[in-house]
Amino acid sequence: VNRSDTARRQVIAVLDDAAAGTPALELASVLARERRRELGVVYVESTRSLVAAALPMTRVLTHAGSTWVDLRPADVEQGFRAHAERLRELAARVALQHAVQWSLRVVRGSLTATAAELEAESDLLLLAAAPPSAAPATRAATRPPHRPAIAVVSDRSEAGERAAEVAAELARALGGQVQTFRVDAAGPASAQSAGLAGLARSDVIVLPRTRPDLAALAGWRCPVLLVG
Amino acid sequence: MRRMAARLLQAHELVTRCDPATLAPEPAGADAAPPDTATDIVGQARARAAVDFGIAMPREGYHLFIMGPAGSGKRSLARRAIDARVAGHGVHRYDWVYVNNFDRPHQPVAIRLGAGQGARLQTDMRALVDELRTTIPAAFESEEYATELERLNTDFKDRAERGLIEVGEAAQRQGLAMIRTPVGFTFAPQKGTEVMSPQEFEALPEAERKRLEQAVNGLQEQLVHALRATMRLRKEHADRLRALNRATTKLAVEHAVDEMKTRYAESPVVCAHLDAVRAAVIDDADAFRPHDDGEGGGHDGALARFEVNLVVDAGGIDGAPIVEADLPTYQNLIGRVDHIAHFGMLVTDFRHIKAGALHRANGGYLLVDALKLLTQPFAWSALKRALLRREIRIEAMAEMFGMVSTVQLEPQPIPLDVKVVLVGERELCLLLQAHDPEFEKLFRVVADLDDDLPRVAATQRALAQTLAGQARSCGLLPPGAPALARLIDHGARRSGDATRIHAGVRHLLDVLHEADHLARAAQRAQIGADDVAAAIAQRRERAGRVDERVREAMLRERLAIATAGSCVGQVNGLAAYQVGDEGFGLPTRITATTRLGDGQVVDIQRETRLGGPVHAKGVLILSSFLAARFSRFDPHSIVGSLVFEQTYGLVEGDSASLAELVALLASIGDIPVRQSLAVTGSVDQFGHVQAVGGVNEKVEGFFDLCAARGLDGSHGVVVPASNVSQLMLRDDIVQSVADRRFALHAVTDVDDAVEVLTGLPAGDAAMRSADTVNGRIAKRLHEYASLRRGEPRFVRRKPLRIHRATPERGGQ
Repeated sequence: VNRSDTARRQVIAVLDDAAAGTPALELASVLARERRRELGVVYVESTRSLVAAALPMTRVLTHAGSTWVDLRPADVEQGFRAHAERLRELAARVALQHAVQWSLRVVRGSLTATAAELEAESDLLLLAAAPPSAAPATRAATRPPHRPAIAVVSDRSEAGERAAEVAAELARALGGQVQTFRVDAAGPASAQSAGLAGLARSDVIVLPRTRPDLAALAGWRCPVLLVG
Repeated sequence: MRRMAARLLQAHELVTRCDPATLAPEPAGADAAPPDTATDIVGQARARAAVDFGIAMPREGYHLFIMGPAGSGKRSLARRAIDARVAGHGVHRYDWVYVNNFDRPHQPVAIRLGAGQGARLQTDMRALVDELRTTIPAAFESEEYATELERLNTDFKDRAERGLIEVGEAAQRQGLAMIRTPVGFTFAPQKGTEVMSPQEFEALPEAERKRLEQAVNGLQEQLVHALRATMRLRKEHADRLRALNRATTKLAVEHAVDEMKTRYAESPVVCAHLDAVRAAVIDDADAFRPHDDGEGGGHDGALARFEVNLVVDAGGIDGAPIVEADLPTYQNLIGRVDHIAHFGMLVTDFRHIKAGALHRANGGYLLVDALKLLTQPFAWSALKRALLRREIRIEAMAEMFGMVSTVQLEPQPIPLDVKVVLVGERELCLLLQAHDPEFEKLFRVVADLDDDLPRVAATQRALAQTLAGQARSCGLLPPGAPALARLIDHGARRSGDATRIHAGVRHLLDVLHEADHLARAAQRAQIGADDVAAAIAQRRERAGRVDERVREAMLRERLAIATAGSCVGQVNGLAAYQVGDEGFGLPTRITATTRLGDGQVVDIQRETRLGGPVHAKGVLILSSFLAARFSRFDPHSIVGSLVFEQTYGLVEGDSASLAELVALLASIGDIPVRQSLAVTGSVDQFGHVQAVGGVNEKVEGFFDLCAARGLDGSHGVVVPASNVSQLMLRDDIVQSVADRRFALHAVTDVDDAVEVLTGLPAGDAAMRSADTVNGRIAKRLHEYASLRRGEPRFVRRKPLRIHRATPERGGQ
């Protein structure tokens, strides 16, 4: 089995928060079904949270209330376990619905670093970070849109072309619409931010793996699919 | 006044036969036209007038009670009057539907519609819902809706996140990172893009650590404010989404509902309901939208509340103006609310309201059997309540009696406009009149059917036509005129009067059915008089077990009834009894003994509590008669004892008082009485003989016993002359009388009876003589009175002769 075959065996969804789970896993499952691949779910336990919890002055505003309480590393560890369990339930339900095989891994680090580490394992990496909003997500917000807006960034590279193909495939499967953003393959992301302002309004962003830096421009407000 | 002597009746006086020629029967062919009176009843003019009046009377409280004997055509009478009324004036029937009350679902709304309109509304509502199941999802699938929804969501997202982003940016400016941990939001000092480690933080100067802590405190407050603002935005967003959904739904539903309202413009209630439907659809458009699983718009459970429950369909089978409540239970009258089991719970809604007989009869007529109604728990009270309130209010009995405390449906009451006709026995009506004050308020018209009809030519003809018509409608063989005449004779016999016909026509129809069976078995094309006679005989035979056993006991002398010879103080009385629908008669031995005493007649039946009050009254009359006739100037100086021998049950009635008097007189006068005769009749204080009931059965009972022992011409029955017109005796008795083997003596006075039974002249009670019955009695009583006064006896009394019955006749 060469590297190329291995990369085409799975669609990997990388998440660092269960709140992002439903729409991301839906998209990844649809992609896995269309491509006849397995769904690999990777939950990233954020080391930033652990480091912050270790500081003596750190207090946390819990999701459940409006009061600030002391935060300890043990609290964070407990939260990681809860999120992992929640993702396991979500993955089982969504995978069953789309009739795809699935697996769950838990790693520790950061979302971007983990994505880079998993680059060799799949040419389709879906990254989903916790939404910026702290309020509990509404049902509408946690469901994938009925006709999602799919943004694809093309830098005229080979990976960019594949990204466009995958975006079109997703649009067909989900009944969505594709909006293409052209960028300079060599230019830094910051220099092209004006042309990419519309990314933030998308339901999913498809990027060539060569430009993961562009994902940050969308502020992680929606899942990002990196196509290798 | 000169007394009439006993009269020996001639054969022609014993029965009054109907002449078939007077019936003018219709042709018996299959193509004969059915008479108009096939379902009518005969006679009963007074009852007819009362029913016609009651049916026509429109005022409140003029409901009817038709009372009369069973099978006399009470229902037919009511139906005839109602049919005539409906034919002349028509009826105004309405459909009634129950629909959901969207504000208070436990109080469904009743709507009145024209006949046939209920089904139309039901269909139209189903069509409306089907239409909305298509148009509402389509509206939500439209590009306009999607665009507007996207705009609202994006706007909400932007505004909700803006506050948090600003807090995050403020944190950045102060060297802090806002981090979303699995537990919640926190702030941590950062070094570059990474969070500062504890060691690095501890290494910071004290002042810097203080600054960071203060900055964190400030940011925490900002974050709380930002989150609260987000919650407000969320509510605002939800409101905007709701408004968008309502506007989208309204667009889809408005036209459909308005179009339907134009079709029901004449009914403001329906229009109001359609407005409520529109509001409910707009409020809950999700019910019409596809599920998460992508299934079609709407689901039956949520959309059921838009259905129409047609409880009365005046345009369909409920449209008949007469409803007959066969089983008038509370629920069957008032209606009910059914429940269905749903996941272990009993649930209900307006769709499960079921109509009762009152609903179906509303605007028309309700026919109820009074006995059935009164024997159903709470049904009578419920009917009265509905009639008094003039509305049908469906109430669960369990709730009325506090047996359930859960919320029950309270369907809106339906205004009631019905004419109720109760049919039942006379006693039932009298009881209600006596004991139920509300009965008089509600049932102000009472139609009283006679027990029997005058036996005149017109009545006989009408009855014959009715019977022939019924035979035709029931598919019986055509009855010939002799058969009909025989039936009419039977009707007269049942009335106990040759001049009347029993009103129970149904009984005659039953006999006709049985005669039809016999005629068919004999492969006859027509029902003949013999078939009718055989059917009557078979009915009697079926009921005759007791009669047969009693006669057998008499023939074996286990029951002592002498039919030959003579005996002092012993008379054959006659009793009648009923087995089912058949009457029978039997002789019973009455004995009397007398002795010196203080003027009492001891009724042994009464002393042993085996005599009823009417019987006791008869015996007291005898005592009075004796004293008045024989002891006006002497002290009444005898004690007499009377008893019905070998009777072990209650003896009631005064029809044996003549026999008892004869027994007493014979005992006092020491005069033998002929045992080949039996006596029936009551007497008054003057000795006049009065009519009694069951005379035919009594005569037949004694005849059958005598015939079984052998008629020799000595046998007969003494009957009151006033009963002669009621005689409807069997053919064999009439023939025996014609052949002088049996006799009937009609008497008007006790002296007539005494002469027939003793063979002695009655004589004058004032003339103490041994040659007459009254003379002997007067003489004996005078002797008793002398003894009581203490006067010496100057005439030795002859030894008492005991007259015994002839042994070969089974006498005692």
